[in-house]
Amino acid sequence: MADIIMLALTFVSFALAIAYASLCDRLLASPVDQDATS
Amino acid sequence: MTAAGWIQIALLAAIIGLLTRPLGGYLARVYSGERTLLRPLLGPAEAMLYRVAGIAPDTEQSWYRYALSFLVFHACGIIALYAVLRLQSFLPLNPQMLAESSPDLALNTAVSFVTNTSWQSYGGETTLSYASQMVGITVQSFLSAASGMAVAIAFIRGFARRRAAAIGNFWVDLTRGTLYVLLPICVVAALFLVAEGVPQTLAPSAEATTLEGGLQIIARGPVATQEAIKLLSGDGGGFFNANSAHPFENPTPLTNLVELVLIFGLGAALTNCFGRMVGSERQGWVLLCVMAILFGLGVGGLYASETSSNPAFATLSAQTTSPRQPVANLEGKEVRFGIAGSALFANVSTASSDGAVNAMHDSFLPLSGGILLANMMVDEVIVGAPGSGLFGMLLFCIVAVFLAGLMIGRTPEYVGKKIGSSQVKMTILALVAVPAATLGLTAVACVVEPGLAGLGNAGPHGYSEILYAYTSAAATNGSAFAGLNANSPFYNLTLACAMFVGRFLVIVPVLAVAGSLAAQPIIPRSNGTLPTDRTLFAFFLLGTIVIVGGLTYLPALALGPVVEALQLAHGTLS
Repeated sequence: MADIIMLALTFVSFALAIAYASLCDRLLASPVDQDATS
Repeated sequence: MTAAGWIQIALLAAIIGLLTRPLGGYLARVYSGERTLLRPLLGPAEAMLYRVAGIAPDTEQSWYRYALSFLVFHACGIIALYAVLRLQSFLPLNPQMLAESSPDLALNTAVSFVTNTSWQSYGGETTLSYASQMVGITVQSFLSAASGMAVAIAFIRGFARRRAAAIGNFWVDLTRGTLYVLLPICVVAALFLVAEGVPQTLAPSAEATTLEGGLQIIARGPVATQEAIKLLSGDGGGFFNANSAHPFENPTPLTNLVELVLIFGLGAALTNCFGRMVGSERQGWVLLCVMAILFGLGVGGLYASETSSNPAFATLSAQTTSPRQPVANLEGKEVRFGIAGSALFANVSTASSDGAVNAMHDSFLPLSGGILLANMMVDEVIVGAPGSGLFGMLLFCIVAVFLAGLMIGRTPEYVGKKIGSSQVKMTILALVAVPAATLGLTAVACVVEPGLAGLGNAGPHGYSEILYAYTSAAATNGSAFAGLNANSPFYNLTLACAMFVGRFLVIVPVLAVAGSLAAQPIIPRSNGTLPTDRTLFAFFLLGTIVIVGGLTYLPALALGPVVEALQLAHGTLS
């Protein structure tokens, strides 16, 4: 049972990391990329 | 402090300085796919690996595909290492009949070595079989280092390419880093270590009868091969619990020096590789100079601190030396290496993200402990691990040119690339991840029962032990302050969480920055361009690192090492 919990934790963590990557991709694709100093 | 001590430090700096250019050139050629000396020998193996794995080496990936490959590869690595550790008692090469690790310890260890951290909540010789050490730990040491270098190279390509949709192929970079860089150096290093007396055997532990007639079990095993990659990879996880303080891991002063060179060599060379790939070696030298200044400050401070007397000694009646001769702090140190050798190794280890130790950091004086913490808290940009040190430093470069742009009202640029708001956002996400994990989890551990249960000391030192553990984990260093019993479900899981955040939630935005930069054209240098290959920028970068690190961590440091040092100085430390 503990093994299943540990593996589930691993899968959930990587699923979140992949979602994080998707979020970064969407942020980068945002049409408004103004000059950082403006 | 002695002349011999300073010579040791200077010798290491000189060797690293001499190695940086040739090794950096070699790295640039390897990752550019150019012909190298080893290609005729290893090229067929590389081609075969691509065929077997179904990889098209000429097909490049966008940053998102690159990041997905990186994440999926490491998810598989964690599961594989977890399985090895949990099934250890059923696997061969277990002459001591060691039992499998508990589930939480196995997960912690798997995450630790896959993330290139090597935090060890266990004693290697009493917990892991030879199979676990060789098939599990050593393999992940190679792969985590190769993947870190791959990310750094992808980041460099972001700066070097113009209007490109791709930043390379993760599988190709991983394979080339392992085959052409890590394996050859490790073969030579392992043979050298064996020649110096490091064991390399599959025989069980030796049994000896002591002079008193007792039985002494002397652990041994395939140490040399693991030792070589432990140091080169920036991993640092020892075969033995005592790590490089153990005479079987680090038997002579010469091995001590070579181990230090192995720890720093690749990280330093990557700065030159960066300079070459962006078309200006001076850019790389500037980064290395900043690293060298930070390193010099750290090692000088540590050496001075450890050679000064512990104020508590003044009250001891056993004090026999002249009052004018300070008693150096030898507690927790291998006398074979002495103060200078221990201070140098500790500084290299915490600055480089390696985490190997040849002295017990918990026994360093409070201010020394603070320096070790500070080394890790600046995101280990002082050379760092292979790959992570360079991309950490480049993140600070982006912040530095952004701040400079704000000051003079110009659009920030770095090596010909415009730094826009999206790059700054991603950079901040990457830089915030480590402090968030470190400080957040330290705060939790300081107030919950399972966190306090692991403490070996009360007061500021106990707090420093907790802070050190999470700093080391989130910065993917892996060294321990000791004194903290971290082999409990609470610490195993929360430290695994810190390591996960410190590796993956940093690398994802790093690759995002790389992708967005690669898509840009290269802006020609003009009169309005801030020169980033000059001394002025080096000091600006240095200031940025110190200020960002200080603003983030100074309150946390004040509660631990600083309070402890003040209490020690005033004789109020209980």
